[in-house]
Amino acid sequence: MASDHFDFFEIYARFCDIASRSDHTSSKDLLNMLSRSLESRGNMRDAIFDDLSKLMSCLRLSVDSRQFNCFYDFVFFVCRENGQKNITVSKAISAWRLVLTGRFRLLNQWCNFVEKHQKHNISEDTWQQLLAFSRSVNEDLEGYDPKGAWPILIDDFVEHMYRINQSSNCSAQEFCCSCTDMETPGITNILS
Amino acid sequence: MIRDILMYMDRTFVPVTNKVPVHELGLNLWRDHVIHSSQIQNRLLITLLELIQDERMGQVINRGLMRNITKMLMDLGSSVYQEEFERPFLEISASFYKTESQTFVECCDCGEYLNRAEKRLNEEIERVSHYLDPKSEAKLTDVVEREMITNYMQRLVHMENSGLVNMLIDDKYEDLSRMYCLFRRVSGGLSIIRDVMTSHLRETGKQLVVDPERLKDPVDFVQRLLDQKDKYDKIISTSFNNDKTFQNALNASFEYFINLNNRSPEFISLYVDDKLRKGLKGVSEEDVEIVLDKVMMLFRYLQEKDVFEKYYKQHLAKRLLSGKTVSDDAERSLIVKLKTECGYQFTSKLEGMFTDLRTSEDTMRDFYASQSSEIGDGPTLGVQILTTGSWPTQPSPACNLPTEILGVCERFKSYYLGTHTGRRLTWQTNMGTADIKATFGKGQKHELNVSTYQMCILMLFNSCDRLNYKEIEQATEIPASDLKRCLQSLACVKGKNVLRKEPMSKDIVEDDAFYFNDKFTSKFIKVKIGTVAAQKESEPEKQETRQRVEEDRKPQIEAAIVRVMKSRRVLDHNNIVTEVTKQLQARFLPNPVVIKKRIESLIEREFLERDKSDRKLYRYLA
Repeated sequence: MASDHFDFFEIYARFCDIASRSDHTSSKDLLNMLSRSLESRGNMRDAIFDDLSKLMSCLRLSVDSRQFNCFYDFVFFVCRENGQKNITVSKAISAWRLVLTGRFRLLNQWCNFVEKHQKHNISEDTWQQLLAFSRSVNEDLEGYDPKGAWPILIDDFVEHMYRINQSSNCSAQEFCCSCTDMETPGITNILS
Repeated sequence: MIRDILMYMDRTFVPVTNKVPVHELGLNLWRDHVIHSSQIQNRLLITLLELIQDERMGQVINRGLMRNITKMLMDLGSSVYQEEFERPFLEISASFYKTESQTFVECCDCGEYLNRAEKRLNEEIERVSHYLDPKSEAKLTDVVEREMITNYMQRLVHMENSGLVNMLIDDKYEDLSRMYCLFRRVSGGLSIIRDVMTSHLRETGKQLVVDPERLKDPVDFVQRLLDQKDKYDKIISTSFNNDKTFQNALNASFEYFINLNNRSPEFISLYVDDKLRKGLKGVSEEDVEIVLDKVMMLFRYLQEKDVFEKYYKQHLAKRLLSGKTVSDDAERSLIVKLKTECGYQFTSKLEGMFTDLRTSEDTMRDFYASQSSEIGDGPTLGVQILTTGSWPTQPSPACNLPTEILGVCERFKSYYLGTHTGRRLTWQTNMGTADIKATFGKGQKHELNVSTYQMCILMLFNSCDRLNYKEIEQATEIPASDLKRCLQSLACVKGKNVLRKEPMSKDIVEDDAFYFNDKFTSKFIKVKIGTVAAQKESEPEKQETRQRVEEDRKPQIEAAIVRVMKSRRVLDHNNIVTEVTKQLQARFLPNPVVIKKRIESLIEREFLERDKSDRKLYRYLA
């Protein structure tokens, strides 16, 4: 078991090493190789989150560090399956909840929104841009620029939040936007 | 004479001693002692002004005298003319026209006011030419323009019941052209006319295109648009001096409101369809061209030209396959026009359709030439071979053809595939027509012109007199919606009801029964039974077309993005959107969200990547 963890740590170290290189094509090949060796470990689809949380607790990442960027990208990298480019919505949500807790104030709303409205897989671009998004907006979505080239999913999320805030303002359900349970009847009506 | 006598002095003495020459001295003395004398100065001015006032009121005055006096003042130096006459004259003119325009504007309508203003202006110009310094003209007209036009422009244009809008509605060419000429003289005048015209046009145009009543009849809808365009074209050419800025305003307004209704492309194509089916019968070639040019003009206003193309293709296909087109020349001429407007790509498939039909004709001729001995008495088959991709065909399951037809179809199939190896033939039974002979109760014979589906239904009644809906459906396997439409046109249209339905209701339901109607009569030998066809698209059909258009746009948008990125290598998001929109606007107006989606897809497929440091920047990955 212990050697497994050592493996995972090593893979992470190699990932960071490759990611910091500037040469695009060669790093891509290296990543592919790394991904294959990751896969050869086998039987780790469910264990991956355990590994990640262990890794996270060891790394003691600060919010803005470059190390966290690398770790965040690494999470996407290990969540991919069978050489696919994207990851499934359910996996993405679990991963977000794991790595962004305490780092993204709208995490709960975001995950609920994605769960409900996103049918396709999550692309790497959307994954990466969410981190940038979580850093550039506050709770009230201040700092969001509609012309800011955000992925569509993020645009839709913002619009969705605006709508909820608006209708909750007029219908006196003031705490809807911060309430965690999205299934309350008031919200369901607004969404439909 | 005095100058002649003193000429020598003038020449030698005056220049040397710096004295004033005799002639000038005379003038100066005259000025100081006569014109500036306290007794004369005022009286002269008052007399002059009174005379002019009299003339303005319509009296005849001695213009010769006036001219001599002003000439004299001018000879005394332009400052004398200006000080002694022109300045007070302009002042009194201003107050005269101030009061006059006030009374005019109270009692006249806009047209009459303009008429009077124009007359006054001309009078003043004439006055200058008769007895004033030509240099006064500009100053004088300035005064009149200011008092009569500038001060009242807004009021005139918006005058109730007679203002600009009413003139436009009632085609008052003379008044309009008067307004144009007068307003052109003052700054900002034309832009007032233009703005009011534009907003009026947009308002009426908007009402026209969103009025649900109008949407019921596409042909009428387009005709109204064309009439509106004609009307304003004529106004601009006859009254507004073909002013370019006005034409641009007109075009912009049309572009604005035509695109308010997203069915405009469909309707314009339907209008063309109507014209090319019947509207242009017996019309001379030049007139056809005029109609087509007008259609092209509306086409130019469309933002979604690709939607028009889609509909046009559908309608053209129906026209061509049913042989309904009035004139091949007109069809071709329109295609040439579309080609010059939008390029080769736009029309290549349309041209392909024409080629298909020509080749089909040859193929059929060859087919019959090769088979003449074996076919004998069977039905005559006409096949139109359509290239997949060129035609807007939707794959539809072939219905069961009657055995009589099936035989000759098979024969043709083996002939065709024998001469063209490697091809595949599928029958589009939903698009054909048939001529069949039928004998009714009293022995009268009629030739029925029906669709292929209807033919299949009718042939069933050769063997029995009564069939219910289910039986027909089973025997023919025609899709339910088409079958219902066919039966409706065979049994429910008066004068063409070769079938009888029980119960006798308008709509077809599943447990209806159908009988051969042997009491059928018609005064025509040939009876054409049209399918109750939906002229305009129904809501679901519209949705479907929309969706297909959206699908077709995706690769075009992606191609445009790649083209832009290939040349720029690195570009930020908003600039890509602008460039792509610019590239595509000849065909349609891409939605920025859709463009974004395409960019995301291209990132995923690694055509593009986001810049590592500036996330709004995209890089092209070769």
